[in-house]
Amino acid sequence: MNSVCYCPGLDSGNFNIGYGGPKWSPYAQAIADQYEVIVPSYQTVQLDLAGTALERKTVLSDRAQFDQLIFGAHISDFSLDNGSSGQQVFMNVDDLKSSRSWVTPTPVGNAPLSSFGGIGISDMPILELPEAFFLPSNTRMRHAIFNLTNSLATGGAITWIGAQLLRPKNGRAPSQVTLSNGKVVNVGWRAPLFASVGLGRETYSAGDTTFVMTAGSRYLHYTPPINCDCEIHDVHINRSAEDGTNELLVTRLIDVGDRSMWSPNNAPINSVMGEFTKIYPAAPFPKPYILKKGHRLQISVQNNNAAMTINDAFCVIRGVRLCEY
Amino acid sequence: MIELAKPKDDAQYMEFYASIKPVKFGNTPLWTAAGEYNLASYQIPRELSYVAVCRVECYEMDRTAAAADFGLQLAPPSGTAYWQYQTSAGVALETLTDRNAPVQRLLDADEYLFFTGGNNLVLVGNLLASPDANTREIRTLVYGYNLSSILASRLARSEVEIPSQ
Repeated sequence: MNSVCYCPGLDSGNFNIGYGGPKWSPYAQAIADQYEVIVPSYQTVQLDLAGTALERKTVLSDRAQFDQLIFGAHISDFSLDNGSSGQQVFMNVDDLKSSRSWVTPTPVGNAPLSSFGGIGISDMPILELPEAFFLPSNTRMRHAIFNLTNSLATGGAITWIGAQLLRPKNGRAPSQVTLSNGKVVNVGWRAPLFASVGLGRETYSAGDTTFVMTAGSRYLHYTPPINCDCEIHDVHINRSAEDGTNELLVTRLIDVGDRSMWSPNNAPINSVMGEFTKIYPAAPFPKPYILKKGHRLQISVQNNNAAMTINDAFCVIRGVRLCEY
Repeated sequence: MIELAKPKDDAQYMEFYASIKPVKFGNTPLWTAAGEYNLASYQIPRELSYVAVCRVECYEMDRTAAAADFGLQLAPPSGTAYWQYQTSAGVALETLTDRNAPVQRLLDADEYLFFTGGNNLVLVGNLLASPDANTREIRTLVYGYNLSSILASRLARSEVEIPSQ
């Protein structure tokens, strides 16, 4: 049977090289190769926060007619109150089909919005996910908002940016794909990982959580152990450097389970962690680091400011879970 | 320290033995007023990889003739203490531990900290004023080892952390 492809090619060779374009991972490319038509996708989810104290809200995305690969996100439309760019609004994400949460349950079960998407006021308005996320057709994404630091932000929206995948070659969405290295993997094998860690001494009062880094003080934190290997790609912190304090925050990352991973030096925090005002909202590792099953990252931070206390700084370790689902 | 590095054979044991050198350092500032005092300082050799600090002993002593507590070794004064890299002129470069740590965490305590070569390492005490306004000596003695990188890579992973409360 002859099939007609309603997919006009570009005279330039069917790809846009105007600015280099996003780079597709082998996993995303292997999935996309199972489809005949790929169309850019922008799906905006209005969070529409009311600004009440310790607000909790769950927002579902619309159902999409086609399978999607989600590559990144953009945050917008917050008010000018505290947390106005989403850096003090906290969220967890899952999809209603798998119910696998993106954010680890400990030590903080939600991650700042600025670790999910780029902010309109920053130099990088789109933050790329560590790995493309495959969202099956007719599956809604659940956005669980919790303003755990009581930021009273209002409004807000998140726009998921990716590609719609049309006309699967085998008549249905693939359950397995073959990577460029020949390995056959399940679709959904590479799942997003967000480990959110509050920095400083934790205090909690009537639902309001605060992390405080006193001037001159040093703190130790740990990510939770994950039940499978993970690739750690980058690290985000939700603090702005506008007041200059980030220059005097120093940090050190260690894999607790690896005897040889050690450094004698503390590094300025922005050399390790990107933040929302920077062109790298999540600063990438030189090479993704494989955090073995059961291992944890130890994060030590020291606030070398002479007199400035820093409140509600959260770092988010971002990466990819390599669980066999 | 060599045993802790678990040399696999005699040849490696001798290699480690050649890579380690015990050192002692410490100062004796005169203390009366509140303020920062350099309790111990050591310019770590530029060619050296690391120095491991293993123990800090510190006490105050009144050397004023006819003082009631003359010659008595007393606990370190109250205040806070921290390790710091300074320039050769004494200007603070980088504070390495909690500036707010009470003195007992760092002074007169076992230790297991590693510092890199080429730096001026200083143990700073930010002390309260002498309660009776008498001038006393603060004697500090730091025990450590100069280490090569091959030893430090095996030992430093278990470096102590001194977190704030």
